[in-house]
Amino acid sequence: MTTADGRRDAAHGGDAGAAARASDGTPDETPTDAAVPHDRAVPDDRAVPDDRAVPDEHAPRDDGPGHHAPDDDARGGGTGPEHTPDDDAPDALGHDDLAPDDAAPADRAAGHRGADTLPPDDGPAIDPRDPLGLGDIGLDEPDAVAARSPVEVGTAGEPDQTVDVTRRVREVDDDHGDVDETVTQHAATTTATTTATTTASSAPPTTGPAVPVIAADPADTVADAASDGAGRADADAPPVPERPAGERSAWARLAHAMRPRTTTGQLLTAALCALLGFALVVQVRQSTDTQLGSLRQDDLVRLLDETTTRADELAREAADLQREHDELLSGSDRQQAALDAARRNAATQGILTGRLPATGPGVRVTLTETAPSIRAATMLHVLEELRNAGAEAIQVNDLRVTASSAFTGAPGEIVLDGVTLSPPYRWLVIGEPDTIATALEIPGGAVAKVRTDGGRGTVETLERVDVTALRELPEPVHATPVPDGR
Amino acid sequence: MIAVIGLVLGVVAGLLIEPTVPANLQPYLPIAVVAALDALFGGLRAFLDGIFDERVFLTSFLSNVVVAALIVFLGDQLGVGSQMTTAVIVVLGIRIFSNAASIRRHLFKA
Repeated sequence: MTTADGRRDAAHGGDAGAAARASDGTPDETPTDAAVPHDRAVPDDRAVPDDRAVPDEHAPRDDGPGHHAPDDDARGGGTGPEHTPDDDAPDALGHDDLAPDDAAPADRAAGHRGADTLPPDDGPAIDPRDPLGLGDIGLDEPDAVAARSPVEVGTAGEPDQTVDVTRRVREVDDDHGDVDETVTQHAATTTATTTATTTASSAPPTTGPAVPVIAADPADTVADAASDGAGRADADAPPVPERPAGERSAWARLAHAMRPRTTTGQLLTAALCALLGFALVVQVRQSTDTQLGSLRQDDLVRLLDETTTRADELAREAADLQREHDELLSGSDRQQAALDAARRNAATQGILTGRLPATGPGVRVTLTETAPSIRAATMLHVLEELRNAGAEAIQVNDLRVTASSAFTGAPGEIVLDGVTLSPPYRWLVIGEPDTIATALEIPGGAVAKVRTDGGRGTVETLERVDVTALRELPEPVHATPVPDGR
Repeated sequence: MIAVIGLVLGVVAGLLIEPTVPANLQPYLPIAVVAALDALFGGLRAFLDGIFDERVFLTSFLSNVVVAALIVFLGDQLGVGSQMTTAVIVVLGIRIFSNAASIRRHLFKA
């Protein structure tokens, strides 16, 4: 930074030289050339001095040159071509102040000289060229500024030196403070001519244009940088990035800065960096540790709403699934129960209708006859007695006896369901054995009737009776089951 | 150099101390950190430009942080806190990017 300051000062000096030198050749041209590098050539700033150029009106008011100069400078810094409104960190405000300060006194100094030679009327006419008046520093005040600037350029002087220059310039200004302000301003507006008269022989005219060209080039560079949002208010910095120096200086400057030095500024910067690092780490930890802690109230409310809604949806879904599960479960239960019932029903009916073989405790009744004597009615009587006693499955010889069975025929050739039976008649009955046996043998009962017919009957109770005979029943043609629920 | 050491020291201190941020400061700390980062990049860029000034750096650092936090605080009070946070972050991000571009141009000439 110090280098830049020095260079900037040098640039001013260079501009001044250019203006002065060119002026001896072509007075009109010089101002315009120099105006290019000088960003401060904003008309507004210089309009103020122009107003003051009218002697009778403004001279009394503008007594304090020191007050006006800073104002102009301030505005010059603010309204410069590169002015980006932000307060960028890189803005070297102090430098902004400095550079114009250098210039303003120079104007006045130049004016001091030129006041004698120039008529006040020229002021407004040369208005646009005003900024050029800055350039006279080196020439007009060789004792202070001009002598100083080269030193700074060469040694990359410290910022203190720059300030020092400013101070000196101010001192110079003070020296001329008694000069009438009006005269000063007029002179400032006509710097080119003035410098031409004072330093006509000091420089070859060819170098005049060269300086502005160099200055203009960096101006582009800086403007480019400014377009990136750099926002450097010091529009008068164009001369700063000198090409050859700038190429090396970025890394060199970094390396230079890496050298540990304990100045106040370094410590201060270090403290700020430490603060930044601390806050950075804290924040990173914070955001990784607690996600919800740093959220705002409305964010939390929104989050809560979303969570609640989601939970409700899930609860509903869970309830639906539970219900479905229950339904399936009960359905399968019911189905199983129905199946079991049907199976039991089928078994029962199968036994009753003679479609299934059956086994269980029961009795065996054997009816014998020496001659054909047992009538079909007696057989029917025996069957009814068995049913009354609770017989569940009955078989006579090889025929199953069912609800539709019928005994017909004459004694000796009794027909059961169309099949003629041959004696002896063997009944296999599944049921409560004692009950059946007792029922058959009661006085005047079935067995008694058989004896009355002339046959003989014996009843044996058995632990296990197998009724193996089956009967195929035709499917009902006309009868259909009554539907459920009727 | 000292600045880098300071940065490292701050990080280490943050890691070791593990402080807890007060609840009412929590929304503003990230903004402040980003603003400080912006100031840091601006300072680096100014340094490479050769116009670094500790006073300006200090001022811009602190003012950036304070203003950023203040804007977000104001947004919170107005009920547009999160939007304001986004706006500030965007602006600071743009600035950081432009500063980084300038730094890159300085260092790599590209």
